[in-house]
Amino acid sequence: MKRRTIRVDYLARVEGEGSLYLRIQKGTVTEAKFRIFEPPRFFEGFLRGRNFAEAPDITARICGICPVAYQMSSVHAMEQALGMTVDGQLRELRRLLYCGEWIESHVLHIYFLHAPDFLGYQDAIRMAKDHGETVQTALRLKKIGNEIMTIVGGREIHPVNVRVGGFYRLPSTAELQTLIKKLEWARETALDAVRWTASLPFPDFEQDYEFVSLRHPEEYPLNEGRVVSSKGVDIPVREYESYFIEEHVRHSHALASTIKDRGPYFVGPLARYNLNFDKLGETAQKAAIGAGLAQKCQNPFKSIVVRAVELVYACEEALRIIRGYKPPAAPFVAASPRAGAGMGCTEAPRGILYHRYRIDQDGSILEAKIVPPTAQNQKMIESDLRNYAARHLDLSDDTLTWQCEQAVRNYDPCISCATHFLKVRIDRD
Amino acid sequence: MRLVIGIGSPYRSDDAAGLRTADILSGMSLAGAVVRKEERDGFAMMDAWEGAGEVILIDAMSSGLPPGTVRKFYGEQIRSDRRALRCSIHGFGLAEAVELSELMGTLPRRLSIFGIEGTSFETGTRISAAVLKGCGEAANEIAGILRIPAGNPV
Repeated sequence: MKRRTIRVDYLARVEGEGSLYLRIQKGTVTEAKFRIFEPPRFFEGFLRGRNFAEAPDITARICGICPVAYQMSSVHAMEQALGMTVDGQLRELRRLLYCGEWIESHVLHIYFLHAPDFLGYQDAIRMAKDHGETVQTALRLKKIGNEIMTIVGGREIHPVNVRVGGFYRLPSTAELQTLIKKLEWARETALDAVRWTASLPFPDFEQDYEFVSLRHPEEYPLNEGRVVSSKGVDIPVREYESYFIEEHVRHSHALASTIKDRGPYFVGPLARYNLNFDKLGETAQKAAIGAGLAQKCQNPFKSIVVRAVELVYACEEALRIIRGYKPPAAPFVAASPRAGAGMGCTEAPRGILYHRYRIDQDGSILEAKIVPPTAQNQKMIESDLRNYAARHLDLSDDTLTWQCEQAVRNYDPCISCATHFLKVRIDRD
Repeated sequence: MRLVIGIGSPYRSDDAAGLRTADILSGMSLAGAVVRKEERDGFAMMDAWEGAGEVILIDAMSSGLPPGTVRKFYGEQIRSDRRALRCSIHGFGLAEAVELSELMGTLPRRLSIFGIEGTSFETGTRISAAVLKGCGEAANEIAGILRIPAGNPV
């Protein structure tokens, strides 16, 4: 049998620069590499020597799509190091800010990055020719997420209002209430999004994944919780590095993660959904079930539906917080530097984002470790590609390439994050 | 409303050409025109020009011309020469914003784009001397356009 090479040198509709290589010999996929060639960015290195208070603003620059996630993981880690607790309305405002980011990021991915795959379009612009109203609605929905980030975070890209201990400035009740009608519309639109995404054609593909996410006793996880998995992991955040190991892989500029003594694992919306369905709230739960999703879902292609379900949740949660908002007495809890170490793990739109810092008595950062969700998903992406391609070797190279790219986009990879456009190459023998 | 938007990143060397040109224009007396800077992606540009009747965009370009060359795109040229616009640090940049707006019928009635040829788009805050000269030329030309009453042929 002829050797086949499926190769995409520059993956489109993902954030950052990546490529994929598959080699198929005698009917077997012998090699599957998801190569991240986005240059390494050395954030962990240049955080050393900076003041603890700078961590949220510096790490936010890791990503333009999910800066809030970096800010949240960093403030939680620093607050643990400093022995601080941020609660009450400040905690609620953090959740609200995160809802804004989830809305903006999930909408971008659902409509502009992933839906074109399912509908057979090269990109969202070509899709807009036939689905103009859908794209227009998506733009309006995305904007609402951005507005939440502007009002609470001070700016929609790289928010400037987040600090260790809370915020520099509190939004007024009046400012937040300007969002209510928009979020009510957004919630209804998100419900439509669940129905719309559920109608897309899904490849029949499931694997026995180990899903990993946060779990909180009272809420769908955003900022806080224990780290849990679908195969028995249930640990406080401070034990993360005892269970999750990062390693260099030759073909990638991003470190790749595994669960110790086990292997790859899956983070992101599908993981959160599988591990926290009971915390989604009635509206989102009903939307999911009504769309044909079971409480457990093992098909990664249906991540697009789960993102839409999380949109419903984020709109509901944002409305709850805004309706109950009473500005606290101060915008932040004061922080006094002291020597220590702290860990923070929050749910970025793409999955858990782990930070650890060690600081000295003056608050200077001595050591920093950042583990983004896309780096954690790298090996899982390769596993999916290997297994998906193995079951679809009868497809032509063009069709198999398209579907492999679609499979990578199930994870909504944020490649710039993973290094601190997928090229697929498949060789067939 | 007559709107001028300088587009770019202040941290990618010559990619700041549009921003610098907007700064120059902000220092001139241009009644009836609003000058803005935009560092964000194509979606933000679409928000920025929403509702404006006449829009002039200024951005760095990479088309093989000598550094600092100012090239203007009007009307039909914008549709026919998308390749020259397709150079962005964002996945959804100027070219995509123009295409999508056109498809959705939200493209400004009068749109012109000034491209200033850059030579370096590496990380950095320094704009090349030739590109700075181009920024000045573009600003003077745009100011001349804005001093013609709105709606008149340029």
